[in-house]
Parts: sequence; C-alpha cells; structure tokens
Amino acid sequence: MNIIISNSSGKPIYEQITSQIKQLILSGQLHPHDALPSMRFLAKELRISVITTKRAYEDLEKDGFIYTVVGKGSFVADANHELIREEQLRKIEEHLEQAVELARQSNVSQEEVTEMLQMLYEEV
Amino acid sequence: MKGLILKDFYSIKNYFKIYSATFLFFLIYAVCMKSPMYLIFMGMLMGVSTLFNVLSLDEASGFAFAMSLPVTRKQIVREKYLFFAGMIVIIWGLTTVLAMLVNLYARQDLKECIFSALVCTAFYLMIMSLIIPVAMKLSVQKSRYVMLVCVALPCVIFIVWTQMQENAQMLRMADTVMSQSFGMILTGILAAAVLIYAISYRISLQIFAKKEF
Amino acid sequence: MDTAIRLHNVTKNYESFTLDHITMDIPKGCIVGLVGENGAGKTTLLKAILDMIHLDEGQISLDGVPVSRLSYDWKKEVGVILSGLDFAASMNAREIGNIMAGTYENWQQNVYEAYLQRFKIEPGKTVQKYSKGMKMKLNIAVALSHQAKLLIFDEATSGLDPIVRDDILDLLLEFIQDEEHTAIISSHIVTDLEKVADYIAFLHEGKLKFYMNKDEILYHYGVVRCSPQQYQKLPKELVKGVRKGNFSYDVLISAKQKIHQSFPEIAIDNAGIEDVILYLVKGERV
Repeated sequence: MNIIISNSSGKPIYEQITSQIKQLILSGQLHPHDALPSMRFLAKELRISVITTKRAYEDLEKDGFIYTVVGKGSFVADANHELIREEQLRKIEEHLEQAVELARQSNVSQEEVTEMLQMLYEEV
Repeated sequence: MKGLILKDFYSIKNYFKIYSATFLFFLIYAVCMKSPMYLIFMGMLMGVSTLFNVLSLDEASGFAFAMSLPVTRKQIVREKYLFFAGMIVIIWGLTTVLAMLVNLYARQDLKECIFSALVCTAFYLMIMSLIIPVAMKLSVQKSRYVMLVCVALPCVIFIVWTQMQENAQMLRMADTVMSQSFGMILTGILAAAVLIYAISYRISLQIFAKKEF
Repeated sequence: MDTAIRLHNVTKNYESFTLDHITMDIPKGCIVGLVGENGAGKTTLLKAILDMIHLDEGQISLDGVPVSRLSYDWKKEVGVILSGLDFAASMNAREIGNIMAGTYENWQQNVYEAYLQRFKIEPGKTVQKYSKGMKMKLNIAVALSHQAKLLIFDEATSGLDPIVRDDILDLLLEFIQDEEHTAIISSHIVTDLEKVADYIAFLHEGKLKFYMNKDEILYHYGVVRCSPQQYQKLPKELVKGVRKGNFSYDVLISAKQKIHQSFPEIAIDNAGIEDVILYLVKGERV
C-alpha cells in the first residue's frame, strides 16, 4: 500500500491521506476487513505528526470507510455502495466548484455554464 | 543511593594510581626517617585531595546530574557524608596499619602513633564538616580558603606547643594528663568530631534543600 | 489525548532573564519540540519540570499533582538528557551502567547492552575518549534503558553530524510508538524538530510566542514575495511579519490558501518552522 504525501500540494496532509486511502478502498486495492497500519506507525513512516494521522483516521471512520477496534487497530469497513456513491458525488461537486469559480473569475454566466453542462451530457 | 556512591567512586578512580605511587614514596620516606608520622600526614593529604576532587566534580555537574535521577535531595546529601566518612575510615585503617608496620622497624612510641592517627582523623572530620557546607552554599573555591584557615590553626597550635615545650612545668603536666587519661582524651576528641560532623550534615541538608541548579 | 504535564503560569526570575508566565499542556503520546534561540529559556523550562529550580510563580503538574509535591519516584520513569551534564571523564560505559543499575529500579541491563552494541560503544572505553556524537548516544542509551515513559532531552542533537542526528530522531519516533510515552525535546536546530515533533513551542526571551500543531503550522503559514503596493493590499490580520528589502517585500502570512485564492497572481512559498521563527523575531512588527 503506497501513500505519498506532498508539502507543496494545496491540500492539508490529513486530507491527502484520507483521499488516498479512500481511493485504495474504492478501487479495490484494499479489501473489507483489511488491517490498516497503526496511526503511529504511519506517522513515523511518513515523518508526519501522529496528530495528523489520527485526524485522517478519525475522518475516514466518520465517513464510514474504516472502523477501529480498541487494542487491535483500524480496519477497512465493508464495501458499501452508498458510500461509494457519496464519494463520487463529493468528487463531482469538487470539480463543479472549480468550474464555477473559474466561470466567476472569467465573467462567464450561469446560463452559459448550464448550457455547457447540457451539451456535455448529450455528447456522452 | 548505591548508584550515587558508585558514581563518586568511579569519578575518582583515575586518582588511585597517583595516590598509590605517592603513598609508596611516603612509605619509603617514613621507613628511612624512622617516623610513621609521615604516613599519617600522607593519609591526610589524600583525604583532602579526594574531598576537593569530588566536590569540584559535583559543583561542575555532579549535583545537577543527581537531581535528574530518582533520588531525593536528602539522599544526595546523605550519600556525600557517608562517602566521605567511609573514605576517612579507610584512610585511617590503611595509615594505621602501615604506620604500625613502619613502627616495628622504627621503634617509636606506639601509643603516640595511634594517638596521632586518631587525632588526625578527628581533625580531618572537623575540617570536612566545615568544608562541605561552605562548598555547597558558596563554592568549592571558597571552601579552599576555609581549608587554609583550618590548616593554619594546627600550625598555630604547634607553635604554641613548642613554646610550651620550653616550659618544663607545662611539659610535666601534659605528660601526666596524657598517660592518665589517654583513653578519655581520645574518646573526647573523637566524639566531638563526630558530633560536629553530624551538625554539619544537618546544616548541609538545609542548604541543599534550597539550592538551585 | 491525556495530558502528561501541565504548565500553568510558570515564572522564574533571574537577574538578567525571566521565564514569563508559561502556560502549556504537554499531551501524552506526543513529541513536543521546544525551539528558541540560546538563552530563550528552554533549558530553564526543562529544569523547572525536573524540580531543579524553584518557581517564583505558577505550577507544573503531572497527572494533576504539582511536581514539587510529588515524591521523587516519578523520576524513575523519566529519561533525562540535559545539556552540559556529562559523565565524569574517567568513567566508562560499563561503570555508568552499574551506576544506573544502582539508581533505577527498572534498569534493564540487557536493553542497555543492546544499545551499546547498536551504537558501537565499547563498554571499557572511558568517556573522555568519546566523540561528541558518542557521548550523546551514550546518554540516549541510558535514558532508554530503564523503561522511561517521559523523555526530556535538552539540545539532544546539537553539535552532531546529520547522520547521527537522523539516528537520534529515528529513535525518538520509535519511542513514541507507545502512546503512553511522551517526549519533550528542545533544540535550536529547528529542522530536526520539524521532522519529528507533533507540537512546536516557540520560546523567545522567556515568553511562549506560539504553541501549535506542527503540521498545521506548515500547512497554513507561507511566505509571500511581493511589491510594497501589493503588501498594502494584504489583509493585516493574516500578516505575521515582514522583511522589507530593496527590491521586494517578504511577508509571513498565516493563511496560505486564503491569500492564494484572493491574490492568485502573488507568489507564495511554503514556510518552514525556522522561517516562522525568523520572521517573528527578526521581521518587523506588524
């Protein structure tokens, strides 16, 4: 399992970790009930603070991607189609946010953007 | 406390070689001069030397280091007094035995020998009682001055004593006192020394309780 | 996380320097990095924790009990390295082991010997023949050989070459794998602490200037290079320090992402902890 973090990315490190682990889970590289490395071990290996890995794991658990057993560690939660859909929706929203921001900056109206959206859906 | 004793012991380990060499020198000298007094004098010297060595190391970093260990301030002070007391006993034992050996050859008055050794020990205890608290409260350097004063004192007594030698009457009195209550005088001096040492311990405890590092 | 040590209004007055009302919580399972220039008060703070000095004001408590009232027992679980405290030159590692065995109840001779081997320290070699790095490694071997739960390291990496420093940092990370273990490390080599610390506390002239989660500092703080005109436009509450050069201004900002969104044309660099400190100390007051 590879987790690569970067200090120059725009995302906070805990977010980088959560999205990479989510991706590993969604793509099937991590299977349900697979054990994740301990927070402290991950922190040590990535040379980041344990506070950060703790936050990442807490977020993952809150979003339902992993579960923690006291004394044993954290494990991948059962495949949940609801979850996957939610994750995809979130990604789409992120991309749309970026598009809207760009549109605002370049003075493109909402109508123009909606038109573009319709055209794109029709194409595919 | 065992660790603290070991610490002090190991820290002066290096000096043992020099001490042995010097001791050997004085042994030969004492035999040649037919006077065991030199050995006793050497014992005193070693004792003083060790005392200042240990206290200097403590001042530099030993005490501060001890404070990082799981020991109370009281234990640190107690160990010091025990260590130095133990050191005196060893020195006294060593010098007495060797002095008596030299005496077999020199045939001086055995009584005077033992008397001198014990008085020296007592005197040394009293000096230490002054030096340790001064070193703790002020500095080792200042305690050296105290030491100088203490050494000057017996010199003064010696001069007075020699003057007394002139006075034959005083001499006869001294002799009578010496032969009759030899044991009592000795016990008195030793008891006084131990008492002063104990008082010094109490004072050092108080000084150390407030000390900062 | 539980609190290992709580400092409240810790104040100590010396003639030329005052440790001024330091309040901070040191959580268990974390490495807290104490940074600051020489004389900022790092060693004084650590000595206060060890009850080596008496406080003029304030209190330091462990698990709720003030340190000055704790029996000396708690030091059994503390591994200490204080700068300037060395073992006597005539001792060797074996003798030091004996001293520690006679001092610490939980002394583990086998662990100690394993560390000596790992650090390539000969048990019979006297301390005066050690290099600086070896002396530090010996100190660490001792600190880690009595089941210590708290490590207090004052300038543990100073004066050492990068390889040795890296070894020591690795050891610290290993130590902190147990969440009951806590470490307080002071150093003026900020980059070392940047690598391993969870929290960074910055002491300057006796005052605690900031105490934050390291990753947050690195994520939020940045250095903007801009013209004086652009500098005027920056929101003042996000500007933490500025160095005015002849050709451009260097500005320390505390919200990289916000500034980038509002001023996409301005160049923003990442700021290391050392940058933050330099700007706070040497930069102009904003």
